[in-house]
Amino acid sequence: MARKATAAREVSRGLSRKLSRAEREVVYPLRNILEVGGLKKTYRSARKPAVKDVTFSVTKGEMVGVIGPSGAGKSTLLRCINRLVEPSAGHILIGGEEITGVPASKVRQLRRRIGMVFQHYNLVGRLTVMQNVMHGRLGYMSTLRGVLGLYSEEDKRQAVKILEQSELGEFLYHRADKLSGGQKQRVGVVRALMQQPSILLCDEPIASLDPARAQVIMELIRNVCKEREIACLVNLHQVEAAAKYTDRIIGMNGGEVVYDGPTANLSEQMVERVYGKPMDQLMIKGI
Amino acid sequence: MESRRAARTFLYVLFALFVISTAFTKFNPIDALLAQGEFWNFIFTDFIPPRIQRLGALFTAVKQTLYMAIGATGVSAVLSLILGFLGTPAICRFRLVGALVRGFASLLRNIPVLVWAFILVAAFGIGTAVGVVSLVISTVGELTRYFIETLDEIAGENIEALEATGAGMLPVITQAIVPAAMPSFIAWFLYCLELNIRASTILGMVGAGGIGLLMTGYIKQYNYGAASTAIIAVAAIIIGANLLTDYLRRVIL
Amino acid sequence: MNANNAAPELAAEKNEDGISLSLKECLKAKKIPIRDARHERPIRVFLYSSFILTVISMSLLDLDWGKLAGRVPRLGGVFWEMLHFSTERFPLTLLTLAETVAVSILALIYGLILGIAAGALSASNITPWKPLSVILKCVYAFIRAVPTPVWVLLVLASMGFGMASGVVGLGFHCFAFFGKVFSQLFEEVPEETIEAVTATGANRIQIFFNAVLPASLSGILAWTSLRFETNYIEASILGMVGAGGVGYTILAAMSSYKFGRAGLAVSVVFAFALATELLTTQIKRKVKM
Repeated sequence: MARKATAAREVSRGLSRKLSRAEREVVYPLRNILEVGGLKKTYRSARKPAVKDVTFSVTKGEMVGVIGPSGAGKSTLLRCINRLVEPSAGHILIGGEEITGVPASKVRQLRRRIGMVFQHYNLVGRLTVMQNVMHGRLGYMSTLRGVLGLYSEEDKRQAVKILEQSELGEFLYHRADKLSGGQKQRVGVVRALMQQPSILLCDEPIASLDPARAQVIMELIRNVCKEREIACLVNLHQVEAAAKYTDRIIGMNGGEVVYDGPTANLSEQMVERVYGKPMDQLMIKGI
Repeated sequence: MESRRAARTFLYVLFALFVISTAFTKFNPIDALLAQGEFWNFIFTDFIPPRIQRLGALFTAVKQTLYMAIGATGVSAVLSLILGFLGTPAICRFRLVGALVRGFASLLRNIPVLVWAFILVAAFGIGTAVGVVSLVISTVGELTRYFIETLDEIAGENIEALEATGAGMLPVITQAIVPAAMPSFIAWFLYCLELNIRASTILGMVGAGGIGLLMTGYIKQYNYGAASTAIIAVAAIIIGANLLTDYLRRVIL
Repeated sequence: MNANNAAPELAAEKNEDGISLSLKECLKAKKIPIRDARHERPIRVFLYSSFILTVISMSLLDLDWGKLAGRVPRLGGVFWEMLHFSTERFPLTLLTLAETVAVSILALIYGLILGIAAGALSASNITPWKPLSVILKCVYAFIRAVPTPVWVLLVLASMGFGMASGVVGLGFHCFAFFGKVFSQLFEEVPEETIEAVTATGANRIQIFFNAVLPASLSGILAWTSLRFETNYIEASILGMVGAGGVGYTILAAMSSYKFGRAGLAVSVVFAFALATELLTTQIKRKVKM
């Protein structure tokens, strides 16, 4: 117990040294898919850190909403987890393996297990839905096969199946830029699912969508995550969506976690603390 | 309001430059206007009607001009593609390489193609080869700049999304960036092809062969009728190329 | 099986797996395509044919690559000598550079004034007479199709050597360029903008100055700065066909084997071109915002 406490304190202080295997096991029990300890990020051009001293863990199949005003560091936090942004200090463990401070090839290997969904979908507009979805498999292929785009038939069959289940069956060979926003985001989710991820990171997945489409996307994300026991970390600007679809909420403000607990326990006062303004103003401006 | 202020500043600067340049060159627009009469008289009496002379030579010259332009543009496109990837910071993470490539491209394109031709003539002697090589030099400079601009625009989002899946840089380039950039690449390629057809005519005027050489020769011999045919041939090639590239742009993009 | 392919309404029907019938076929197929070959074909055809045309052109040019490669060391020598800058007659170099810049500015301004007027006459939405618009556009195409040095050469033959010929020849080309791009620019001005001013009872000239011109200002600014870059490069080579300027200085130095002098002149030309390019990039960025 004492050992765990010491180790945890060290981690939360953001020690730059690598944890030993023994320490890792004490601090991070294996059922946790994602462990974040003492994470800190300061951008080179900024004086204040975008994320400071963030510590939390996510278990298998857990759906976690990250809420907070814009500029709270939600996006930076997400991008640190798959190291699209290089953390300044702290540890991040994916399925018990450290992703911080490891060489690029190892990062690529770990990223395969981390799906990501973007606000602006980030699809290649001129390619077909199938081609975009198959991009999810590139991480598992040899460089040569990847360069030539030689995807296995098994993977393609899998893609067709998932696309069909997400009601995109009619659009397999449509160009991605010809789809509606909601359809594009569904393609984005399917691309992430093709990675067979154990974690899904969603960065404002519904911020560019109208309410009806947003609902469909949030339901899709929740369903696939529950079905496949994927841990999900979703950045949301809207409190209502977070309250409706997540199991747990992490509230951020100024780069710090100000709330971390079950969605059911999120009180109005808490929300006001996270956003730094009264609830009724949020209802109007939040969406 | 902002644009209005910009426009006013722009006008003031233009006016100041106009006054200084006029004072410096002593250029008198009235003289130029009066000379117009003589100029058009010259055009209409000496150049019209065009005289068709040695059609075979004309045809060969046209072919040579086209070969120079097409060959040089094609070779430059391949070279620029490589340089373009090396010069885009989001794709090639070695900052020094990128800076060197961009500096090199800027050096190539900011020295006029005729100046390159003169430098090359000093080493290689007059000939078609000098024309092709100097076209390649300046086209690589231009195309590399445009390819880098295109890639820079495309790279951000696409690279982030595909890198997040754990894909390496090479597959990301061939599977996402190249397909996304292809229409712009082709548009710039066609633009440079047009430029090169013009430029290869000019290069001909200083001895690099082709229709330009033929035309300058006729003018120097005061054989204006034949020169006029050559000029019309040049105009026809360029208008033809324009129409073709417009058509291709419509079909491909 | 064929019946399914032929009848799309059947294909959309779903069986108990929730997978539509045509997709079931797809899953059974040996090889599932992922691209849309139909849309990719034009690009593919274009790439292959340009590759083939390039190879054919290069081989028909019949260049002696061996000889060329053999002389590369000499090219290195020329560069080496050019890098030994010689300041001999440097004041003359600067003077001719100033001439070149002045010629390109004057050609730009005269071309701009004439180009705006011509653009107004040839923009199909504000032209006073439709056929005039078509005729003018053909004139632009022809003028632009003949390279600038050729125009300068023709002007030289009638106006004599000197900077004035450069201004006229280059300005002529510039006028056609502006006429073309400005007519397109004016045509892009939304109909409502023009209607709003027309409704006040304005005449044609008032419409142009109060609606069309203000709406296209940023475009005019961007094209003008871009054209200045082109003008400068064009003006710097005019000397090589006999219209004076820095091009002549470079030509004279090169042909008398004063490589050091030529090298310095080329560097000065390059430095100025680089400066205009940076300026243009700045202006383009500002205008876009």
